[in-house]
Amino acid sequence: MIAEFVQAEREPAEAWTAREARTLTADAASLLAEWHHYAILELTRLECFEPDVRWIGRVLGLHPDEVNVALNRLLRLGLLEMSDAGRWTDAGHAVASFEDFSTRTVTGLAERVRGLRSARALPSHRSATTVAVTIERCRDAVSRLERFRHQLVDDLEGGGSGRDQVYRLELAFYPIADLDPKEH
Amino acid sequence: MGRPVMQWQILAKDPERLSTFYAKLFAWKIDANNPLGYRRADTGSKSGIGGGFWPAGPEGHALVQLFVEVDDVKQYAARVAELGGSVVIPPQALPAGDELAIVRDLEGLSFGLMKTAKR
Repeated sequence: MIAEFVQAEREPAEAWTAREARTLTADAASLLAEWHHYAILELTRLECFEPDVRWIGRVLGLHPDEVNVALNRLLRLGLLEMSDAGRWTDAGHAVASFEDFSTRTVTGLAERVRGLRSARALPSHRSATTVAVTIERCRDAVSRLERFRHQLVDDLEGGGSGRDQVYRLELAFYPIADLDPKEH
Repeated sequence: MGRPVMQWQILAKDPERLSTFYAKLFAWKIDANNPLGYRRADTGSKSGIGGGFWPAGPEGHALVQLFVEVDDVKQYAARVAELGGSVVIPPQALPAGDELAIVRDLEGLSFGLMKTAKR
């Protein structure tokens, strides 16, 4: 018993972040597999909505504990917001269909897991943009990205001794829709 | 005002069973008649701090959390992240007007930040 306690007390930091990531993944799986999570978000849109787990439970035929477990999952993955006393909203107002809900669930999971990795607040950057372009500019962009990557890596590796971090640099530029009718 | 520990919370896989256990053991009164269905424990004493029981969910496990009273939950949640901790549940406004966030410290222990509404 004492050995178990000591073991738990000595759990390395990596262990709890891994456990938290597993819990968040289980949250996401439950959100997608169990109908009532999406139903709760749908309820928040109703004018007659009452921010009361007893009311939600009555409407959906669930025990208040089941509602609270569902609320925890929605809050942890950033899909629900209790913004003012008595006002619960679909966070970001972005969920208009079950497809949106699925997308937001997966995005929420990715954001939270990424947050765990950067819990030490190390500098990082991640961004994406979708643009309509011509094929000539795409070829030029690919060349420029290659040059940029080499230049940045040279700069990063030129910092001398005392390196204390390992980072991954990813650049992605790829077609998502071909709008040229001649190609078909 | 300081930043006192205001409340304990037991997360339980079966909060009904566990709250009944403590009620029988210490003659505590458990009241879940509130908008969150939160099982508040009345210990029958003005000494010590109050607490309650909350469902951990099937994927969770039983644990005890402490809640620290702060004057600005958002600010303290941001401070947790700055110091290397993480935010589990971002600041929320509860139905009775209290504000709450659940965060983790550097060793993964979760605890609550709360601002009690003036009543």
